[in-house]
Amino acid sequence: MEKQVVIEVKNMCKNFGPTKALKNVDVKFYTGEIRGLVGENGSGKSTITSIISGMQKASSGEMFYHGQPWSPSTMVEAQEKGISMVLQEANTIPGCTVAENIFAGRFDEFTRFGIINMKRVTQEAQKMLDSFGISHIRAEDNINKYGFEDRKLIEIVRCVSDDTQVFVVDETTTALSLDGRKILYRLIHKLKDEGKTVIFISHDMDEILEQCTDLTVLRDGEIIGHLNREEMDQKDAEKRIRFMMVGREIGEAYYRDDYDTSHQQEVALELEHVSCGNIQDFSLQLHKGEIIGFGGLSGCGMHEVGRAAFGLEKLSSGRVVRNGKEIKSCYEAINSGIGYISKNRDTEALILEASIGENIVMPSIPALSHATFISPKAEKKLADKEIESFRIKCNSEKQWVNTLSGGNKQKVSFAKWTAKGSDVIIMDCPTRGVDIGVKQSMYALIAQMKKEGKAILLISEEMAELIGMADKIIIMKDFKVSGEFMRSETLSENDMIEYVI
Amino acid sequence: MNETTKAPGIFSREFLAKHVYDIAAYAGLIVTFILFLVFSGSRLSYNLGTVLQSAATYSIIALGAVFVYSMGYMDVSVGQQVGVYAILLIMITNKLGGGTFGVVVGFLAILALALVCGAFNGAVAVWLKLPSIVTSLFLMFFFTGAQLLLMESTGTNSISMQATIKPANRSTYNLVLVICIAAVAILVTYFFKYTKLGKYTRGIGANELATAQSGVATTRYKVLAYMAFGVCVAIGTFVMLMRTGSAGKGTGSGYAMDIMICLILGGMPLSGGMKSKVSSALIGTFTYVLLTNDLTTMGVDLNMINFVKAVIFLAIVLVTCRKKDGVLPR
Amino acid sequence: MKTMKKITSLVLAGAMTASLAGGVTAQAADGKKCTIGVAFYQDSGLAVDATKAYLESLSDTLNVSFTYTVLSMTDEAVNLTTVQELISSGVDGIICTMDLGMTSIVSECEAAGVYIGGYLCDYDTSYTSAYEQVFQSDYFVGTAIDGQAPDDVTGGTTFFESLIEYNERAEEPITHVSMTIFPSWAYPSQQTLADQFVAAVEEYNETAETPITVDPLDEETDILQFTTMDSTYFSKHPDAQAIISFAAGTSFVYPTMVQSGVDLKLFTTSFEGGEEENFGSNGTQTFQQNMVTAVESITYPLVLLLNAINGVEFADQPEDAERVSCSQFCINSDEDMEIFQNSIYYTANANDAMFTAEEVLNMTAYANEEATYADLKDILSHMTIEDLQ
Repeated sequence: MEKQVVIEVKNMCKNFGPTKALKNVDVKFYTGEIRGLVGENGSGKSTITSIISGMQKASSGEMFYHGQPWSPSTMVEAQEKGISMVLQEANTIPGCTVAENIFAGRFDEFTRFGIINMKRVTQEAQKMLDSFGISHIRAEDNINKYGFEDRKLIEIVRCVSDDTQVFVVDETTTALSLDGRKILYRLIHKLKDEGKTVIFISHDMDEILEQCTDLTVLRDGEIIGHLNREEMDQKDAEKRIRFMMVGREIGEAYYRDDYDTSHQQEVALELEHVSCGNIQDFSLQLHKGEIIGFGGLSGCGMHEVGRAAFGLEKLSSGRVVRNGKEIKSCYEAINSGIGYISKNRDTEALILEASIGENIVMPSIPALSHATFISPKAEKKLADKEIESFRIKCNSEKQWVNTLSGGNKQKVSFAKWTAKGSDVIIMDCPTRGVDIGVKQSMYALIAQMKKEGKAILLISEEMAELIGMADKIIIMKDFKVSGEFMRSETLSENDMIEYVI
Repeated sequence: MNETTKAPGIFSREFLAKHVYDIAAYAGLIVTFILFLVFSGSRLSYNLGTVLQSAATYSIIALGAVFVYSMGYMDVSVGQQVGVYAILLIMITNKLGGGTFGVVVGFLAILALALVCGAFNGAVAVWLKLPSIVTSLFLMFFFTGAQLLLMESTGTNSISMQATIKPANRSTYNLVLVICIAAVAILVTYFFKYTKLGKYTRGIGANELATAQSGVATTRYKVLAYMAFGVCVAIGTFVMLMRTGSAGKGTGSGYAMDIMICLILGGMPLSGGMKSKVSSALIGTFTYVLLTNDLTTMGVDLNMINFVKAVIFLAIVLVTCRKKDGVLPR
Repeated sequence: MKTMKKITSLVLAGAMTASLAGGVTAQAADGKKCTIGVAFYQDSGLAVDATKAYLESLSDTLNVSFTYTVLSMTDEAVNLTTVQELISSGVDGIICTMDLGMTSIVSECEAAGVYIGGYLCDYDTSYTSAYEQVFQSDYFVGTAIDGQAPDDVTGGTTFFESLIEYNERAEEPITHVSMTIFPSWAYPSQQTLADQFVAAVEEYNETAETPITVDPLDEETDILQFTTMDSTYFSKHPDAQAIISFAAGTSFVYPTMVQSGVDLKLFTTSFEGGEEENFGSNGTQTFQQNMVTAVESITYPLVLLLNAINGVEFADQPEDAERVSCSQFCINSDEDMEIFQNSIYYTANANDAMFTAEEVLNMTAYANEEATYADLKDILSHMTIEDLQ
């Protein structure tokens, strides 16, 4: 089949205030391809696709769709014309059934004489779910019953139909389980085979290299280059792509390079026979200068351990102790020097509608307050120091967090606790949705923290990360500890996988 | 390629988009003030005085309400609270012989009561996990009853204070009002901008969960915010009594809505959060009072005044409301 | 249509006020050009519309323009603001219908040099507790009461006479009645009215063949707090054949009677319009007496205000401002109702008013050197149904 141009972007610019997110971008997308878009956070990947799919408008430039000028005013319009996008953030309607979510805005098709045939809506929805191979989701159920991963799948079902010409997947896979990913991969390959176009944005290099037929690399709002399948299959492809993304040599120092598992004798945080929810009688000692990693599947209970250690969960028995004092609330936890980076970055870790400075300073306010007065100068100094040391890309500390890219947001939620000077830091999926450049600096930071004698609880769904960073790895399955591994050069994912599933 | 990042100009789209609240609010104040100057004519200085007197109570209460509104909460009980406090202040003053001593004791009493009510308003909402509007509704009904019962016990429709707390000289009176407003405004600005209280209430409004996870005892600050509001309500009541010297069954009715309208006119986002500003209380009340004054001096029919107010209010809300990305239908 | 007019007037209002503000203060023979603000107790209704019609008919001759506003029945601060707004809009005098926040209102008027008078209000709270600040103020000119002052009550006897007149012509005379009154904080004279009525009945019973029973006032049901009467009223007074309502019966008693489906006669104060259909021998024959104060009684404060604005006084004017009782229309027969229906109160047509503009002008001290305060006061006692004929 001859490849045809589906979408052509010409000389596009997009400015957010003084920030230039896209600079004179020219790019073409063809039929029958899975086009990967890679680049660091803030490189402009999401900006391009969101303009194509009608979420926002370009500041200048032109677009053509099937040769016609293309300027969708809403995402709805774009979808009607065949361009669908699945977003990073959740986009389902809570409180409604799965079927209602799938057919939201399309009830007319099921309406006769003003009455909606809900039974048919449910049946049709279930048929669609089945055809995507996700029969475990029932169309008649309330969507609240399903977790984030399942909701993403429901969104995909909603987006894709026979009329879909272009399907945009924006960092969706980070939210999906292995099964969910497989479903998505199957879907995009099917679309490709049907001669349609898939635009695939991901931070997972392996995934990109496996799934995509073509690749476009962006950096700082500019197209750096294109790779075809052949080039992607070459041995040093990954290294080359990384170089294109970051613009400099990444080097080999990615994870920790030492295998020193020693730590101080002093216990920094202790969980004594803790029971909460499905977790029964869980005990743990975290020492100063130690990194304990928690791994497993998303629903294995490791996230709850982190929440419990921070005083966020109500314990049915047992206690969390730091410096001989029991921690009963996150307020006490923070006061005793514990920091927590939630995996729900946008809802729990950060105040999106607040400035970078306000977010960074928030936990440190009591320390800055002298006889009720908090000096704005001191606040700015503290915020600027962290922005500087984390190299957060922004105009000033007054910029709002919701204007930042994912990686920079994550840097802000790290900065909150370094500013506060917390000695114990609980990190729940700290590198989720973060690109390599940022990941590398975060790993360096975690290693540095260990050297400074800080105690770290690293909860992650990425095994490689745990192997690369933790002194001790605890694998959980069904709310119980299923295996423990000490840091070693020979430890591999295969050693652990049987304890995970 | 030109890559200079200059600050956005005053007329750039970004600037306008970012400051749409402030621009609308300031424009409203300026327009109403110009109309005021034009239509007051020879009675300008008298009118300035009346505007100041009408606005004093509102602006003091609205300044206190900034703490509550910045959390994205609201309060509908303030009118009835003002009524009860006013009646109590008069009763206590008169009982103690109508002297300065009585006024001081009376004021301290209502201040204490206002603090208790504030604490109740904040704490009960948290403990029962109710939206704060529900507890304030409860307080509203409670105070409506209390106000009626108190007045019933007096056997009249309106009671007057035996002590005179209004300065006899008109310009002294106006000066006292200016000082009151300025003092409250300075205090509120200090606590709202430079202390934990304001920073935390704004945080609660913007994202309560994230604020709590940053080590803020949110319950305590919710209660404190309502108590700060209570202090301003007590001061506002005193300023109102300075003006009328009497109170009755309906004193204060409608204040809660007026305060809300003032704050919205002044650019306060109803969802609270980091965009909350102290200035919105002052700009809003003066816009509101000036607007009423303008319409009356322009000779607009009384029924039309409410209509015109409604239209202006709607227009401002439409201009300032933030567009939310709707849920994507298929 | 009405809305269109209002919008047009709004547009024109700006220009008009601007030209007014310029201020033409020519001293004509018929008095200074001035503006008087009238603050009513409600914004419309039969009496309010009639009063406005009456005032407008005087406007040209007296060289006065009127602006209208409405007071709050409950909030002093609102009333003060309303008065301040009137003053802001440039009035020279104010006619005020409510005694709420009067001390602060009067001192506001003093500060602004604006005169104020009362209408349909006895200012009893002010009279008894703030006489000095209100009645002795140089800017308070006096008030015309809605009926009689508490120390000058005759209305109870009037009700009794209506009842006897009814019994004389009716086939089935009424022998058992109950009463309603407004609370004393609002209308201090109503208890007196009731007492007077009971006394008159007792005196009558001494000689009458068929004595009349009056149920004593019940604290729970018979004192109406400006809300409609409770239906338990009827079980409290099971034998009553008629209700003597000193409170405004059309609004507060009649609806409950209709809802409860009771067939009683009603002798009441107030007339809101519509009663005539069931009055006397018409319709359900429920209403047998309506008693109202003539809208022309506003002439009293108006003339005093105009004098004050023009800087003159009657030779016989008392030093302190007075509250003056008004005679009332007592409509208690079909003939009375016919007469009343031709009065300005009912028609809101200024041609039906008791006084022409020239007559009112002649009552002022500046237009007529021979005019006296005694004459002005006297007109208030000549506003009965007989005077309408």
